[in-house]
Amino acid sequence: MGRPETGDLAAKLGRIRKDREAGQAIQALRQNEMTGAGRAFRLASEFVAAVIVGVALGLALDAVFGTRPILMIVLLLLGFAAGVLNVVRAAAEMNASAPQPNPDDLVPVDDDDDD
Amino acid sequence: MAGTDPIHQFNIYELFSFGSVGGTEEGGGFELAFTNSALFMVLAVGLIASYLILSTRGRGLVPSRLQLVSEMSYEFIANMVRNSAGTEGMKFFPFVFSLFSFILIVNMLGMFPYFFTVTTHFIICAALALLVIGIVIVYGVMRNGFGFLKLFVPSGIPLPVLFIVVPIEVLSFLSRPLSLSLRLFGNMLAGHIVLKVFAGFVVSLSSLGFFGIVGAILPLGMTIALTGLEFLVAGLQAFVFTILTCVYLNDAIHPGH
Repeated sequence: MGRPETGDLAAKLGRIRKDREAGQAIQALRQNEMTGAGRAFRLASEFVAAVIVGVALGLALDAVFGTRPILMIVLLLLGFAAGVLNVVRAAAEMNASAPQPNPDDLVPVDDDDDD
Repeated sequence: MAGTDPIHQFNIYELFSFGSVGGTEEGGGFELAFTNSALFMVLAVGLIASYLILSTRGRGLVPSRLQLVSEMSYEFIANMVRNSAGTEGMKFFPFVFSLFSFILIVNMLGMFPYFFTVTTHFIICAALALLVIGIVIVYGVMRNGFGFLKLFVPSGIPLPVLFIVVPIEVLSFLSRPLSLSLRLFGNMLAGHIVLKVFAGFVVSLSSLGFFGIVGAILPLGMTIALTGLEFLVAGLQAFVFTILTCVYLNDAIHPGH
C-alpha cells in the first residue's frame, strides 16, 4: 500500500462523487416531471376543502343562531376567498421549490429566415 | 357479480370482537371489533418495526444493503424535516418518520391483490390529518402562547382590512386538515376503483367469445399501465402528506408570515 494507490483512490472517489451528483440531478428532474398530476390534485383539493369548510361552518353557525341561510352565504364567500388564498400559497411554494430555469431557454428563439 | 364489483374491495368486516361497550338497548353502544382494516394497520406497523429493527441490528460501519435502505429513509425524512421546518423541527422527526412510513407501507400493502387498502377509508386519513393539526395547534400554543394567533394576522396590513383578512386566514387554516385528508383518501380510493373497473372489463369482455378476448387486450394494457401509476401515486401521496406535515409544523414553530 503506497502513495500512488491513495492517489488512485482519491481520483476514483472524485469520479464516483461526480456520478452521484449527476444521478441526483436526474432524479430531481424526473421527480419534478412526474408530479404534474400530483400538483394539480393538490391545488384542486386546497381550493375545494376551503369552500367545504366554509359552507359546513356556516350551516353549523346558522343552526346555532337560527339565521339560516345568511351565515352560510357569508362563510361560503369567505371560504371561496380562503380557497383562492390556499391555491396562491401552494402555487408560490411550488414555484419556490422548482429549479431555476436555464437562462438560455428564456430568450425567444428567432426561427424565421427572413432577415 | 361480486367478482367485478369495484366497491366490494372496500368492505370492512369483522375478524373477531373484543365485546361491545355501552348501550342499553339492542344495537346501541359500539362494538370493539378487530376488522380487516385493523389487521392491515397492525401488519404495516409490524413490518416497519421489524424491518427497521432487524436491518439495523448489525450496526455495520459499512452498511449492508438492508441497513442502507433504513439509513437512506432516515436521511430522506431528516432532510425533509430540516428543509421545511428548520433544525428545531427535528423534535418532530420521530412523528414525521412514523407518519411517512405508515402511510407508505399501508398504501404499498394495498397494491397486493386481495389486500385491503386502509387509506381508502376517509376516517383513517381524517384521523391522521387531525393528529397533525392537533399537534400543530397544541405545540404552537405551548411554544408561542398567544403569539400563535399571529398566524392569522399577516404583518403590514392596515386595521380595516384585517376584519376581512383574519376570517379568511382562519378558514384557510381550518381547511388544512380537510384538504390533507381529502387528497390522500381521494387519490387512493379513485385509483383502486379505476384499477378494478378496467380489470373487470377484461373479465366481462373475455366471456364474449373470440372477439371479446381480442377486445380485452385494450383494458388489460390499461390495467397494467394503471398498476404502475398506482405504485407512483401510493409513494407520492405518502410523500406529499409528510411534506405538508412539515410545512404545517413550521407554522407552529414560527408563526407569522
